Amino acid sequence: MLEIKDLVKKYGKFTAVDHLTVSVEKGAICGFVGPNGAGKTTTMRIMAGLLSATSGNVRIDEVDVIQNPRALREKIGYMPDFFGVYDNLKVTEYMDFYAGAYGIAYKERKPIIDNLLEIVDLAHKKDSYVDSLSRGMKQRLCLARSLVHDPELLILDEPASGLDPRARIEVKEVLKQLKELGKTIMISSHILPELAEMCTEICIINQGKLAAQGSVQEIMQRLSHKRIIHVQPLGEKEALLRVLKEQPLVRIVSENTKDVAFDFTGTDEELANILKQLVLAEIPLLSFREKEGNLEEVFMQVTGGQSV
Amino acid sequence: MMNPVLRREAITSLRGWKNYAVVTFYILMMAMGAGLFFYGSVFQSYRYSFDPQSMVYLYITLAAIQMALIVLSVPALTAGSISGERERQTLDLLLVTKLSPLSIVVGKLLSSMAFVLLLIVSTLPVFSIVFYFGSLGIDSLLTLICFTLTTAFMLGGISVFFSCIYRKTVVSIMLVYIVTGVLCFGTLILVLMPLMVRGDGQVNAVATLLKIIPNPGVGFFSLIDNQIGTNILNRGLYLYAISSNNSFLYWAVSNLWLLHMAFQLVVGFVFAALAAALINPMGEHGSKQKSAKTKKKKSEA
Repeated sequence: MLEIKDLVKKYGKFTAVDHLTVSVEKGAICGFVGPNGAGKTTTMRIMAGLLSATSGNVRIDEVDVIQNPRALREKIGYMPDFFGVYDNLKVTEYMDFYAGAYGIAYKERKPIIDNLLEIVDLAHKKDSYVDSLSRGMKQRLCLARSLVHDPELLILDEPASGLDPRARIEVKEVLKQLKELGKTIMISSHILPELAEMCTEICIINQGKLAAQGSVQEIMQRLSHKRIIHVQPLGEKEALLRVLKEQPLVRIVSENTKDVAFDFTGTDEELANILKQLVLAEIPLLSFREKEGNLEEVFMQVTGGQSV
Repeated sequence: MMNPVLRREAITSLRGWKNYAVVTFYILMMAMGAGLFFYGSVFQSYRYSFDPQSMVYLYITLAAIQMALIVLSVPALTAGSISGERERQTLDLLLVTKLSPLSIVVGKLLSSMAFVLLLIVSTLPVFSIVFYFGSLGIDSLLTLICFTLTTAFMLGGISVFFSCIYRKTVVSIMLVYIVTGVLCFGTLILVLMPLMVRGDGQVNAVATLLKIIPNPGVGFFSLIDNQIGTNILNRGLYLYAISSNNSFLYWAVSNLWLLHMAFQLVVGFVFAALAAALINPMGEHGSKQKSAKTKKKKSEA
């Protein structure tokens, strides 16, 4: 569906996007993550045909965005990170204006607009003035606007930025509906847990370069070089610590109040062997579990600790 | 299908009070001009009499006020068209639609022209005083309206062009006024300079004509001159500047206002096309301009 190949964008000597190569399958929801200044917005603007690239190409359904930007406008729905609305325009008129701008015939507009306002839960506000809506409502309206021509690919740049938790949940619900409708979505967000929850894959971009791409689990497995295992003994920890320190694949053992944690670099079979040895040593255990990694930790690791 | 930008502008502009205030002010200015004319020509005259022929001068007064108001108001109405979209952060949303940059610019320009037409039509009752006394035909008024509209079109085109370059509307307005000033006075100086230097009237006729055609003041004067039949400009120009036996030059001098209208239309279209090229995000101009202005923002993304 989407192929970004060797994309470069330079502003004088500054390289905003540096030989970026990303591919997204049809129907996928791809989270675009990176610290401030990583080149997320620049890449998304190039994809939307709002910015020319220095080199490289972006293809959507085998059509080059850079060579043929106008032909792709009906395939792409774009929602920028910052956007404004017009004064003195009602919600339906706002939608009607963009429907007209996408060349939708006048007679066909009403059912489309009504349906989209239902999806974004703004049907009750259709006669309200756009500038009187709350930030969250404007965000949802902009999302509806980007869907007015039924695009195959949605490019959403920070759709939940500046929203309160309730409004964020509402936007997330809309995105879930769009996922069910089979839209391919490229979304950038600084709320990593939300991305991990709704995205089928993640692209981590740092200093304009692709740092990692794949499903959340794949990335975490690939980038987490060590596994942290927590063992909770029943009673004294001395025997447990003694056995663990004898194991060659156990690197660091740290003692917590309730349990003992250790870094492990071996395979699942080797881990099972350690558990077997603890049982053979007759050390009573309450739990033996691997700590689940999260996207934030992976992100911090990949980007060298820079904030999103 | 109606241009969506024009349609939206028509809806939003007529909802606010500002444009009603502009129309009211415009009509008041015209009515005041007519009132002062009557006060000066009828009530302050020696015999307190009324000469219907003097209505020609009322026509000139009203036409001049209208022209001045249009020259002043068009930049103010149009110079914020694209910069306003940028300030409102709605330009990107427009550029990702199927609308071409040219249709966006044309929509903006047409909405300004529609408002100018509204202003002109709203002053027709004031103009009707002139026609009530039968001094001039309706064709004269229609020609004047066409001339005013082409002037508005040229100024609108230049205003949209500057609006694409500068973020601040005030800067665009000032630049359009400067361009208008250069067209009015700069071209006049260019025409008069050789005459003053040589003193014998032996100047290049074609060059003089080419210098005078862009002048909106001369164009307007030429139109009025033709309509009321005084032919001051024609005789003056032909005798002192263009003296030549060339029949085309004679026709050109006699119909300077027509040539000026053509010039205004060409300039309007050229600037509209340039404006469209400037906002085209994938065009060289657009991308360079955008990159310069939003470089900092991009680097933060």
